[in-house]
Amino acid sequence: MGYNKIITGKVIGEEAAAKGERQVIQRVLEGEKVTLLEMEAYYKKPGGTLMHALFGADPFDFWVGRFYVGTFGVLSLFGIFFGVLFYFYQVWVVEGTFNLLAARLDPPPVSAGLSLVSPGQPGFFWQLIVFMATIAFFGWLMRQVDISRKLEMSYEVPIAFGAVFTSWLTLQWFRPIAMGAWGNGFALGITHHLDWVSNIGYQYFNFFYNPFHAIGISLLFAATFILALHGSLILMSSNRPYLEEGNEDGFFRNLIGYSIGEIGIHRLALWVSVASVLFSNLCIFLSGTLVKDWTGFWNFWNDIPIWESVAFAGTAAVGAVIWRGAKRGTHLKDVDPIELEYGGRGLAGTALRPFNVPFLKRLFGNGQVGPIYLGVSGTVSVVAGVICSFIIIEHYLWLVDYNPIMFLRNFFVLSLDPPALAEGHTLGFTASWHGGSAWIVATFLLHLSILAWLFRVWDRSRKAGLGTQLFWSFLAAIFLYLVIYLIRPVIMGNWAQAPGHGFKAILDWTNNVSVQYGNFYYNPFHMLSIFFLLGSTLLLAMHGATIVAASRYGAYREAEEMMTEGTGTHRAQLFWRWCMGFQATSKTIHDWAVWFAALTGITGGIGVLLSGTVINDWFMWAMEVGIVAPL
Amino acid sequence: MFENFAGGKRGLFFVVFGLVTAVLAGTSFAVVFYVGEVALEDPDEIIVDDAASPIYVNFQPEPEAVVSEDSYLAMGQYQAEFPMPQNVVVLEGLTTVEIIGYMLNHFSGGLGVNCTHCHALDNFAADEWDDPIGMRNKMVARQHLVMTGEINQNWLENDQLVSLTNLKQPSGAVMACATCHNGQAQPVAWPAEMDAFPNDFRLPLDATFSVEEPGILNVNANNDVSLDTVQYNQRVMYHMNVALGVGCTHCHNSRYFPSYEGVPAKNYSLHMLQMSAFINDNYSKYIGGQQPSCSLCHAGQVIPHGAAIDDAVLPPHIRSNPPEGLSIEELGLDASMYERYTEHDMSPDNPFYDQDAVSEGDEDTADMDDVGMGG
Repeated sequence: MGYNKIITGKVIGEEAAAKGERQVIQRVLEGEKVTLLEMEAYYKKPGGTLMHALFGADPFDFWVGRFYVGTFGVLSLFGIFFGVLFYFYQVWVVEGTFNLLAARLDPPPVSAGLSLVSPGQPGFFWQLIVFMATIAFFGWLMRQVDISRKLEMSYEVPIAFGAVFTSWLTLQWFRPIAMGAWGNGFALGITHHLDWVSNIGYQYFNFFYNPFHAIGISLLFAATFILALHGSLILMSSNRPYLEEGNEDGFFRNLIGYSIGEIGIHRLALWVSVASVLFSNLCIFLSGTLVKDWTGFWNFWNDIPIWESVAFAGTAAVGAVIWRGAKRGTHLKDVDPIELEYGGRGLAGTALRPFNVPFLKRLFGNGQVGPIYLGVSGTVSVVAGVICSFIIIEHYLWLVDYNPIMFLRNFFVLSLDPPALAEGHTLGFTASWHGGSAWIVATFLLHLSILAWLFRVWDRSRKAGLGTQLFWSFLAAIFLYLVIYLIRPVIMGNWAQAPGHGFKAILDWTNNVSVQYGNFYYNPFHMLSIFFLLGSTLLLAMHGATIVAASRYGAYREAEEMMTEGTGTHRAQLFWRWCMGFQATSKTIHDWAVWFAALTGITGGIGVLLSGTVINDWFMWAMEVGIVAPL
Repeated sequence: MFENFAGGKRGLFFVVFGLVTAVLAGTSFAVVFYVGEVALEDPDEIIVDDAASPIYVNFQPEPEAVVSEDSYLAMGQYQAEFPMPQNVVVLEGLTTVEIIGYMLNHFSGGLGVNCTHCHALDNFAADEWDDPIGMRNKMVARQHLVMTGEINQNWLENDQLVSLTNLKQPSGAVMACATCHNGQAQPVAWPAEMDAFPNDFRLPLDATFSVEEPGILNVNANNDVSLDTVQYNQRVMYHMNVALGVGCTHCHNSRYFPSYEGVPAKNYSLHMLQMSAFINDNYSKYIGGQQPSCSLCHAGQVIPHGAAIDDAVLPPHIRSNPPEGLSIEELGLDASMYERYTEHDMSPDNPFYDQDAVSEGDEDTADMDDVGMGG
């Protein structure tokens, strides 16, 4: 063995075989159940790190208890220790406060430019903390690379963590350098960083109109949605040994027409969560450097020279491409028999002859689209939803005098608003149809559609022999929806409390409700909801990346792995055990998933429900409880 | 230990990896430094080009571009004949030379018009001659002089804005002709883009602009205002955003919009809103029934480029009240005098349009479009 040969578990296995010992992997192959601790002892061998590969030696290649240290771990520890030390020195000694919530750690003033301030000047400790934190994050990233190498996993986890790391780099390094002063960096401190976010947002007119912000936020919500779907589905099929993969796929195909499959959902999870971070980076980096006015930014939209006859041609061309693409899918001859079992006649049967889409197959590993189950609840849901959309779109057209070009051009700003309280309308049908009554009818139909779909989720879960976790996850999201559109407006006594139906209307409502009740950032339930929203995206990124990284060992077969853990699942668990000292199992990671996603909706709903009913001014509330940073 | 680097797949990998990293890092640094060069300008900094004009904040009057040779000759003759001007109603106490200087810098320069816009060249003092449009323009000009004096006296003169706080902004600038006219004979007080659907930037001039009163400007839920009032409020705020070219944080600490903590500009904006309501109440009929918008003067700037840099550059009756006993009502109001303003018609076909200012006027219109009114 050459001195620079990478020492891995495989090599050690070969050595063990040469000594005539019975390998752990041999026992696995023979069908023997092997515990995680046995597997850990098998993998927990020196060698294989980046330092080994580059320099042939790694002086810190050892474990302390469960934690893997490594050279980069030492680097990370250095950053963590001094970063935390400087943080508390600034808070306790320099600011002289023990109120950690109200501490404020500001960067140097903008006038200091890109120079390093001297000790004693404002921002000195901010610079040290940011430097140390950057070292700590970098060390942690490289440590994950080392652990991936030791476990012979691919590098998806450090890639996902690297995406988050670029967020820190964008906020604290790239944007301040581009703006020409460290003073433009991200302020630290628990409520103070909320103030920073607020003031940056409103510095560039209205951050809600920042399209990259909108895409980033949409992806955060999409990540939470995906987490709820995936976590629920795995829990729904846990402890049901009679189930096969076809039950899960059949459930989702019957419900929404497509099942992404076991490996596909983890790939999607990784991509969506990483994309949400990258779009967020873009939205903050562009603000102040290239774009100073996100309202005026939208002038580009009206200036696009397609608003004459070309608009029709373009729409027709896009439609033709989609139609052509749909036709190219091949129809499947062999359909999973489990799915056909649910089939029947009339409403109690399936529609859409299943067909294969090669692109989806390549992307997610599952190309079959359809069949979709109709059912009474599904039919009610779709019909109510279509009528609701029709009312909304008819109102849009009415607003633009039925001019199709103006309809397309103004699509993002058109809205169907609730009856205005300023004109004296409360909960009755006192307004004219286009003055708000249309909103009441459309919203009622939307409630009906969503609740029918909720029942459909329950119904299909039961028929597919699965648990009902997805029903409860969906209910948590619907709670937030109903609070916003139904419960709170009824408590407040007027429909004007609810958002209108339209892109800009929803953004404006979010902005206005925050402005009206002091500042939503100081609403503790909003804080919790954001914590769970970002936490859901983090969990999704971690889980998706881990499973994809260990996918060649079959870690994605979670329903089976839950009962008999294979080497892929063991590696996935050992990764986090070595990285952060504890790990979930195939089942418990999905418990985390379901609860994080559900609590996003539940805490958000409580936060909205309390605003205006119990608390009128969240900033004043925050002042009373003493969590506001001094000015 | 580096023997494997020379050949083999791993060596190739490190070479490729190093090259890709170098290219990406180099590109990143190039982008960052390029953007840094572009963005180093502080958006809140007021750039006053001292060389532009000793009179205006940042506006360059160019009377020589619009005043014809005939007019210069006529002015010379009139000045030689009358060292003290005849038939002066508002600009009392000035010599002919001083009045000519004022007319060239403020009227010809500020409005982009020739002397014939308001005067008969054979007798500058005449109130009646063979040009009915010129006669009307002269009456309008007198009323606007009185109006400017009254607005300065009531809202701007004696550093009223500065006294709201002791901080640097605003500069003590006051209103002159070019503040609103900005090089145009017929400024549009409310650019069509400002309230064109879907922009719909409001400015509720009939409302009372007061911090104590709940309503339009005070939207905290403690005052029991509805969410649609907040929506209305946001449109008012966007109006000011767009008109001044600043974000919300110019006037607000957005961690709590109702507060005044740390941001003095909120006081100025309240004062200016009260002034806008005052102009709307008292002078709307003297500007063709138009409503004043913030962008009429500000046009995307925190300090209007056409504002007079200091009250000392203005004649006494323009910086404060008109001469004793003279009021704008006494100068008479004939609605037809302002007819052209109601049409916003800037085409050369308009008989009221000043042909001499066509070239200048076009450029100024283009400038207004660049301000970013959200069209």
